[in-house]
Amino acid sequence: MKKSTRHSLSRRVTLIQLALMITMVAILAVSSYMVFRRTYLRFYNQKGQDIVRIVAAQTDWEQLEHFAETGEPDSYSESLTEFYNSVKMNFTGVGYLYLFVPGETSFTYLIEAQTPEDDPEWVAHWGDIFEYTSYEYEKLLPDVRAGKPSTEIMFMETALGAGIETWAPVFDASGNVRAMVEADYELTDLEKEIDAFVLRIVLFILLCTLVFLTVMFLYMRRSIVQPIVRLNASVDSYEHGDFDLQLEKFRTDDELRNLAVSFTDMTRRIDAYTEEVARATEEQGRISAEYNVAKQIQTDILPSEFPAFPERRDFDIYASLYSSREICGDYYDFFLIDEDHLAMVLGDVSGKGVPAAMFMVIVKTLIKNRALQGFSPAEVLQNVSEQLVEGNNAGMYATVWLAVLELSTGKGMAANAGAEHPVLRRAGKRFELQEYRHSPPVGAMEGVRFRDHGFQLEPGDTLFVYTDGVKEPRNKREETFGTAGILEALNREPEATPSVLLQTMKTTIDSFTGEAIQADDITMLSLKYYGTAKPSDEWK
Amino acid sequence: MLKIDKTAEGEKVTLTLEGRLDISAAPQLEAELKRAMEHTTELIFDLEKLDYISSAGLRVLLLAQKQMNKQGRMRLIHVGETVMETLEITGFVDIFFIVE
Repeated sequence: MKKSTRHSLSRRVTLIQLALMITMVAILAVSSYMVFRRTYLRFYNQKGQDIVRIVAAQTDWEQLEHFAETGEPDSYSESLTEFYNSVKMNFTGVGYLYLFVPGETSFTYLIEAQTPEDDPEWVAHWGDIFEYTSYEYEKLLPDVRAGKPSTEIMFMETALGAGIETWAPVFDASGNVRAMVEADYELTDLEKEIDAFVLRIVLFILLCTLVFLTVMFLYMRRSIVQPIVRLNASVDSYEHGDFDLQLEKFRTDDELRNLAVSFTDMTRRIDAYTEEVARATEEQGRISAEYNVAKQIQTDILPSEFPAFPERRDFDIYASLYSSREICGDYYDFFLIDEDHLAMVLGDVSGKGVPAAMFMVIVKTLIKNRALQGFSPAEVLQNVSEQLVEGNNAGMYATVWLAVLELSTGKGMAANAGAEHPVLRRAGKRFELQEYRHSPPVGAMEGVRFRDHGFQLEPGDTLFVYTDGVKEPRNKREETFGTAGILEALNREPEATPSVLLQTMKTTIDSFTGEAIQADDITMLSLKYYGTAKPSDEWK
Repeated sequence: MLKIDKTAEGEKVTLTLEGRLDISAAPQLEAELKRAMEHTTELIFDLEKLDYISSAGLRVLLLAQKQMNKQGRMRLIHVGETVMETLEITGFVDIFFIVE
C-alpha cells in the first residue's frame, strides 16, 4: 500500500509524458510520410520532364518524317532509336520511353526504347496503335493541342505498378505538333521506400524519447519525488514524536526546499507551543490546586459544627456558606464573648479570588480578637478598619455586620459596615427588613466613623442576616431575587428553626435561578432567641 | 454593558456613566480612570444614567476617591435612586461626596 503510493507521482508524470511522446511521434510519422511522398513525386516528375524535353529536342521531325510515314528504317531513324535506347538504359527508373503520333482517340507508335533486360514481347513497334486511357485522353490531348509539355504530377497506380507519366511535344519546321515523346517513371517501390524512411525516423525519435524519458524520470525522482517522499516520511515520523527533515539533503534552492524550510519552522513552532501548553497546563493545575486549598481554608475557618451550642437553651443559631465556583470572600462567624454575650459576624470582602480569601482571614481574625476584648461593635470595626487601611493599596475592603447580644436581657448592639439590611421577625409576626443608617465598609477609607445601633430581642424573635449573594441572584428573565424574594421565602414558614429557614432559603434561590451558575457566595446566618423562656426538650 | 463619556475642561474631568457598572465593566472604568486622573484636580462622576453598581464597581470608585484625596476632590452628581440605595446600604455615602 505504502510502496504503491510512494512512487505513484513519478509514475503518473512519466506515463503522461509517454502518452504525449507517442502522440507526438504519431503526428510526426504521418506528416513526414506526406511531406516525403510529395517531395519524392515532385523530384521524379521533374526528372521525367527533363528527360522527355531533352529527348523531344533531340528528335528532328524533318529527318524522321520519311520513317514516320513509311516505317522504313533509315540511318537517322536507327541512330535516333539508339539514342532512345541509351537514354532508357542510363536513367534508372525509366520504365517506358517512346515516340508516338497522337490521334483523336488513339495514338500510333513510332519508336519505343528497348534495353537488353526488356522482354521483346512487351516492346511496341512502328505502327502499333493503342487507345488512349481515359486519363491520357483527359490530360494528354489538351497538352497536344496547346503544344506544351506536361507540367503537373501525373501519378498513376495500376495493377502492374505505380508510376509518373511525363511527355513533351515534337514540332516540325513550321512549328506544328507532329509527335509526342512520353516517359513513364516506375515508382512501384516508392511506398516501400517512404515507409522504410518514415519507420527509421520514428524508431530514431522513439529511441530519443526513451532516453529523454529515462533521464527525466531519474531527475524527477531525485529532485521532486524524493524530497516529497522525505517530507511525507518526516510528517509521518513527526506524528510519532521525532522529526528531522535533514534540510541539507534539499540541495536545490526551489519551492520544495522552501516548503521543507517552512515545514521545519512550523514543527518547531508547534513543539514550542506544545511545550508552552504543557507548562501552562501544569501551572494551571498548580494554581488550581492552590486555589482549592485557599477555598478550603476559607470554609474550614468557619464554625461548622451544628448545633453549635448544644448545652444552651436560650438561643438557637445556624449559619451556612454555599461557595460559588470562584472564591468570593464571604464569611460568617459567631462566638461567645462570655457566658452572657454572643457575637455574630457576617462579612463580604470586595473582589474575588485568593486575595479576597486572604483579606477575609485577616478581617475575621482581627474582628474576633477585638470583639473578645469586650468592645462595642462600632469600636471593634473602627479599630479593625484603621488597621486594614494602613498599606491597603489594592483598595480592598469588607462589608461587615457585627452584633453583640446580651443573652440574659435580649439587649443587642449592632454595627452595619456596608452589609445588607438585616431581617427580624418579632414573635408571632412576619419577617421585616430592619433599615437604619449603615457605616462604610471596613478598610475602605481612613478617618471614617462607625455607628452602633441598639436593638432589643424578645423571646421568640428570629433574626436573619445575609450577604449580597442571597439578594442578587438573577434568573433567565434577568429578574433579581431581591429582598422581596428573601422576605417571601422566610414568611412561608416563619416559625421554622434557623437551620430549616436557611435550607428553605437555599432551595428557594435554587429554584428561582434554575440552571444559571451561582455567581457569588451565598452566606446566611439566623438566630432564634428564646431568652429566659427556655424551651424544654419536650417543647422542642 | 457600560458606556463611559468623558468631558474635560482644564483640570476638571467629568465622566458620565451609563448602564451597569459590574465586575465585567469595572476593568474598563479602571483603565479609563487611570488616564482621566492625570493632572486632574476635580473629578466628577455623572451617574444619572447608571442603573446598577456592584461591589467591584464600588471598589473602582473607592480607588478613585483615594487617589483624588491626594490631588484634588471627587464628586458624584445626579445619583439615581437605585445606585443611591446601594451607596446607602454599603455605607459609601459616608465616603463619597455626593451632590444632591
